[in-house]
Amino acid sequence: MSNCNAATPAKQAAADANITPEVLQQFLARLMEIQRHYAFEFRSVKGDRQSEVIELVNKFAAKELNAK
Amino acid sequence: MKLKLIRLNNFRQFYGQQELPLSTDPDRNVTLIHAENGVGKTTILNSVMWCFYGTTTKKFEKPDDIVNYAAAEEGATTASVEVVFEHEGATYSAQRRHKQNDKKNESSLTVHLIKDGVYQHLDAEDSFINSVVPKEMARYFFFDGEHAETFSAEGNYKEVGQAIRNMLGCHIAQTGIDDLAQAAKYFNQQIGNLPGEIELNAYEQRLLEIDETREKLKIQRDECISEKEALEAQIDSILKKLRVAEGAQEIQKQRDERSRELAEVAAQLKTAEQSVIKWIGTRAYSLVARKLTTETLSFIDEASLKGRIPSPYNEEFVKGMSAVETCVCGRPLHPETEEWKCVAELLKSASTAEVQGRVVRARGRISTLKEFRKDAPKLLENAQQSIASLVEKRRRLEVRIGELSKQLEGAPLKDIAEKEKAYQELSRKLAATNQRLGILSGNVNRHNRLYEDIEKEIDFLAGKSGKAKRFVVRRDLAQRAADLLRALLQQHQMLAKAEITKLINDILIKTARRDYTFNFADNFGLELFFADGRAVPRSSGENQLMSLAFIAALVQFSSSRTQESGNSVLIPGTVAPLVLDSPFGQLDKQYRVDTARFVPALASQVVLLVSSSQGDKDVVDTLRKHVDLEFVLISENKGSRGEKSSDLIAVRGKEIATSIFNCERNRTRIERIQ
Repeated sequence: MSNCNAATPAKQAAADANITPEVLQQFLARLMEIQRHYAFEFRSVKGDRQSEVIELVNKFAAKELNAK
Repeated sequence: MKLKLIRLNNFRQFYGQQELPLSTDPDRNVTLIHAENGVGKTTILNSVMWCFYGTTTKKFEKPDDIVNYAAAEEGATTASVEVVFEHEGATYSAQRRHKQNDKKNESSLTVHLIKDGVYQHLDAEDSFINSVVPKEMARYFFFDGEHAETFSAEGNYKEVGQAIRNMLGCHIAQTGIDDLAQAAKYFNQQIGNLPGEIELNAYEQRLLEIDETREKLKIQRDECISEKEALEAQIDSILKKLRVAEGAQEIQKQRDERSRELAEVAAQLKTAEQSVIKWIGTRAYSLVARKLTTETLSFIDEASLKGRIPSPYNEEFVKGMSAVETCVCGRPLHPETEEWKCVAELLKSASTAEVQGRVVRARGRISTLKEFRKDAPKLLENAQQSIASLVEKRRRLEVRIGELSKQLEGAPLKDIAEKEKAYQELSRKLAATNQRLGILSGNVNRHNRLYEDIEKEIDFLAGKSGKAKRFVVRRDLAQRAADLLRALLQQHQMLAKAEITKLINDILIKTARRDYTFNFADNFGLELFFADGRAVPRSSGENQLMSLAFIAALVQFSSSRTQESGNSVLIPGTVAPLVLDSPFGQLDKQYRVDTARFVPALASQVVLLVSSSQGDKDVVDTLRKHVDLEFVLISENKGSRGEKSSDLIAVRGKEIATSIFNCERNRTRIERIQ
């Protein structure tokens, strides 16, 4: 294995992407909207919900973190 | 939400269609249902759970036998429960129908809004019911008091922690955390699947393998922790009994003291052993390198004496002369002349400030080593003596504890001897479990480190690939959001624990005869203490009271959270009826009366299901002013009475037979007492 420091280039990329506390709070609010939407569903919704969460991460990263 | 009516149709013991109207009066909010054991109290409690969620309480026997036996013999294959309820000013009907086939049982729920007597069908019925009373919270509103030990018994702290989390409405946040973990995993896979990134793909595959093994190990470790906690709880329970048992009290007291000393000695021993390890790291090499340090120091000293170290010429001084092309004596130093070459030659042996500094530091360090060498043997000797003395102390304590244990094992009282044998056996199992836990924890940690290393490696490689960076940002966003959510939940749980502790203590002040203090153990176990700080034995009625107080506090806590902000990570609390089956369980007469006094105030609607032994005259008299509707469940039997007792109960001055014989069929009938 190569000698990796804590701040790898990829970590740096994430840091550059500026995941600030404010961005995280905004993201969490959107995530909880999805969770609330599915909260009272009896039928198995795990797959749909997880897909929506992945989609949310994608959208959020592209829009708020400029990681297209 | 308030229940208005339960309509049963061939459901379990209830043959045909039978109705149970419930009080919705805000002042006389109690519906009291009398029934002897096995007649249908628990079925009434479960009928609402089954109707709403299609599930029953954990200890409900034969939960798949829904259709009444007598009705089934007559050819019936269906059963149903309809619950009519009020919620936020409107009336609704929820009906679950069950169809029994040869191969499988099917049940379906329909929900209607009842407006001006007209039933209007509602879509998304499950979601609607869950929004009225979330399933996770329902089991605490529809509570089987016969199993109150679920909360107060040793080792059942997990149930308590789960109850708090459920009433706190944590589950959407928890699924959020799980989904984010899944998303992080997904983005890692995307990094590993990038075309042309062979090395990344290989690392990703390895990451998946490690994760799989790590998850398996975690499950094993968690099982081991549960086992360890259960054993500790059992050991704790035995020790508590021995501490108060006549004939064991004094010996156990001595054993407790010696055990405490043993724990102290073990801690001191650990410190002493660590000091030897520290000695090896800081002093041992001063002894090992004795010859090397002596020779090096002699060399530096000798070279210094002879003027070789540091060099008599300074590099900057020589360069300065060359630059100005003038010697320090004033003669000119023209380039390429013999004089210039002589001065330039000096640069080869001239020292720099750095070299001089290094020589000074090396000398200082070697001198320190010389000093270290002087006291190193003494320090080691002291540490070894301390270890030897502590080991001896530990041996003596272990022998003494062994003797005390033998005394208890050979105690003339059989009960004490048996408890001690059980304690010894459990202690052996605990030691083995701890050992296994150590190995499993070590393995989990090793896999965590491996996982982190490979993740770093993937990060490193991904950092070089523009395509991978976008996935890394996404993965990190998911991971950091999950961390934040976890921290928020933790904070809410701590606050909930404090709030529920206060509510339980308030209830105990109103009901308990003595001064008790309730507290949560760190692991969420329920703990009740006398005023002098001694633990209240768990088998006592006080602990039944504590369990009830816990349920009551959960219900109050839930209603205090109905206004939870829409932005919260929690589901808001709910106000729902409290349906209690056999709430007075093991309570003595006085406690039953005291509890009956506070139960009506626990919720805006209370349904109590009691047997004649629990709902005696004093209890019923205490409840009377709150009771609006009262019923008796009567067991009708096809067979003859024979030697069986008539099971009479006295209600409102009337004697009612709760078992009648020579009936057309076996069933339970709901009879209202006017």
